[in-house]
Amino acid sequence: MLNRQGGDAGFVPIAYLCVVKELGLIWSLIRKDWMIEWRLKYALSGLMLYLITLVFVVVISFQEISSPVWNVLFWILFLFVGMNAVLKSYQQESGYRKYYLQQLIDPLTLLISKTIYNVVLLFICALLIYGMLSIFITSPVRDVWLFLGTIAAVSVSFGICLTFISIIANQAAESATLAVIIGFPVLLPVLITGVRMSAFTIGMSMGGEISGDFTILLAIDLLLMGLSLWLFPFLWKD
Amino acid sequence: MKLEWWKYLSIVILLYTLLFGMLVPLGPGIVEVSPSRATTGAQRSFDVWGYNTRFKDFDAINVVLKLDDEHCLPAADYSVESDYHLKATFDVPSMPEGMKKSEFATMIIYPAGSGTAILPSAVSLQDGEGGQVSTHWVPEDDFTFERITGLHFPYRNILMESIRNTYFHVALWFAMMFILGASMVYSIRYLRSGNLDWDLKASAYAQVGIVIGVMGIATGMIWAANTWGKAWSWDIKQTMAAVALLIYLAYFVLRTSVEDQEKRARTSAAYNIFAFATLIPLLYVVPRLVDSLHPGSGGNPAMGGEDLDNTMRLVFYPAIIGWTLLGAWVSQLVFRFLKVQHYARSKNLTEQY
Amino acid sequence: MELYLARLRNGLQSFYNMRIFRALSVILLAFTTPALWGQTQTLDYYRNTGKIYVVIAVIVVSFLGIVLFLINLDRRIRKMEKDLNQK
Repeated sequence: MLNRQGGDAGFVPIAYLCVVKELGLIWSLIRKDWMIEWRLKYALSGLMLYLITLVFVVVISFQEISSPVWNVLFWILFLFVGMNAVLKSYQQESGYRKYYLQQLIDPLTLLISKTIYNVVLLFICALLIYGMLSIFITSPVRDVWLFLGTIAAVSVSFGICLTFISIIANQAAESATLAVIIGFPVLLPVLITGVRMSAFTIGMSMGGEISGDFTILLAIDLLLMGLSLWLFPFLWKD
Repeated sequence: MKLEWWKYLSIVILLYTLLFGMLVPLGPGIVEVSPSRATTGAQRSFDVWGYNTRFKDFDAINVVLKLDDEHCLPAADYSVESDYHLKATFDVPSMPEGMKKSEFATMIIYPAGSGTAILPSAVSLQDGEGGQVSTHWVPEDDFTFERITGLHFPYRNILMESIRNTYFHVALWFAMMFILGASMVYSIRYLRSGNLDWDLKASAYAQVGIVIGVMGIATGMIWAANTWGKAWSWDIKQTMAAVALLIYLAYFVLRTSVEDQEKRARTSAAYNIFAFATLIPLLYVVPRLVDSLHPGSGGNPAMGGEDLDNTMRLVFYPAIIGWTLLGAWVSQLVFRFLKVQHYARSKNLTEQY
Repeated sequence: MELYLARLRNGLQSFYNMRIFRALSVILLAFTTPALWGQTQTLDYYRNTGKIYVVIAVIVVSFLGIVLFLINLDRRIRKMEKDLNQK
């Protein structure tokens, strides 16, 4: 008994240290991505401009928006902005920088950091779209916290899917077009679930419980995250 | 060492499904009762149109209107016009105590052919000025309904004979899932071993899977046009099926857009696995949440209970196996072609494109 | 080559015959069972209300699907053979 405890006592700090080191690595990779994005300026400001223009066009052309239409519009805007935001993020990881990173770090660490970065980026995009739409049109959302929870959950799924899609598309020559082609159908189940969930928050009765949709989204997340963790090393090596 | 028998088995099974699925008749049913609404408290006569019925063969036919287990009404009189046309007259008493003022009644006819013909909600009964008839509602136990004997498929009113499409349309979708599943398994094997053969096999199975999917959509549209009235009604399962095909078409776009062979194999294998994983929520989870015209939506289990009885299972399950085996056979042919082509290209025997 | 082509044509011919035969027999078989029971009037009524044509159409489409795919595969193989012969 004593022996086993002693053995554990020796083991736990090492595992703990490994986790801490890994987390530190992930954090520094996320920071690196952010720094590149921030320094390049054009990428980030281009994204913001794209977002603002899109919302503007939609608001001007629709004039009056009923709540079901608002619901669908929000997700379509999110889909376009999200794809634009994420799909280019992996493209910078090519050429010499890719070889450099390959030498330095474990592929899983890289994937996790990319995914987290994209999830946060998507969530911010969704918040911005929601905020801008609420400025121009009175928002039909009744339960704001539930709505925020919904966009957070969908951002996670989108982040996982789009990160993996951008990695796959990056293997091909014309990655931008390809990413859109292979991305849309894969994102569709998540998008439909998202539309359903936010319909709950604007008071449309969809039948069933919103917790069921959360569970499904979580299941899809776990499945796709597991798969991308398993498949990424095959794509990473050359 | 070569297993060939399953290829011929697929043909045998498909011939069996074709013969069995087409030869077994439907049970008797009622197509229409007119007028479909009546008020109580008077003598009412109805025209009944049957399907697969043989009214002329029987000397005595029981025609019964049923509200619930405790309240049934036998016909006062009936006359047989032809094998599928019958006029029945009822002395309808006023609605029983404790029931709503208007209620749908089920029409039951036995014997009608090889069994009992039933039409739920055949007549809408409404309380009128009562008291002119002397009949009463009687409990169902007073009648003994003949259990249907002989091999038959269930009669469903709008589906009619097209219920047989279960073996030729629904079975296709199951076969497609199995074929695409096999494609994914080969992709996994490729990633594990790095042997290009597995990649070619995955590609071959995906091709055949897409063909079966297109056939599934086409046959589904024919069926839908004749039962739902529209070939494409944006039913959630139709949409999901179309998106599933898009996913696999994207798989082939991906394959053509990567130049390097190893890289193409790795990338497409990864995408194949990923795509199959998203296909499962697409085809099995999302349609259950949303209202649909298909059976198995809104929380119901798919293909169970009322929609698939034991006689149909006798044909339906072999049909799935048959289509899957045939698909596997064709996939093998495609694989052999791809392998020869790959060999010829690697030896520079044909042009590279 | 001539002989080969002739044999191919022969094979194709018999295949087409078989397909027509199969479709015909299906249609015939589908109507045998009710035909045993009643007169032609009844039969007409059952044909018109029973939607058996939907089933026939579905079967024909699924067979056509397989056949078209096989024809396409055949074309791909022939193209490859031609390429191989040229080299």
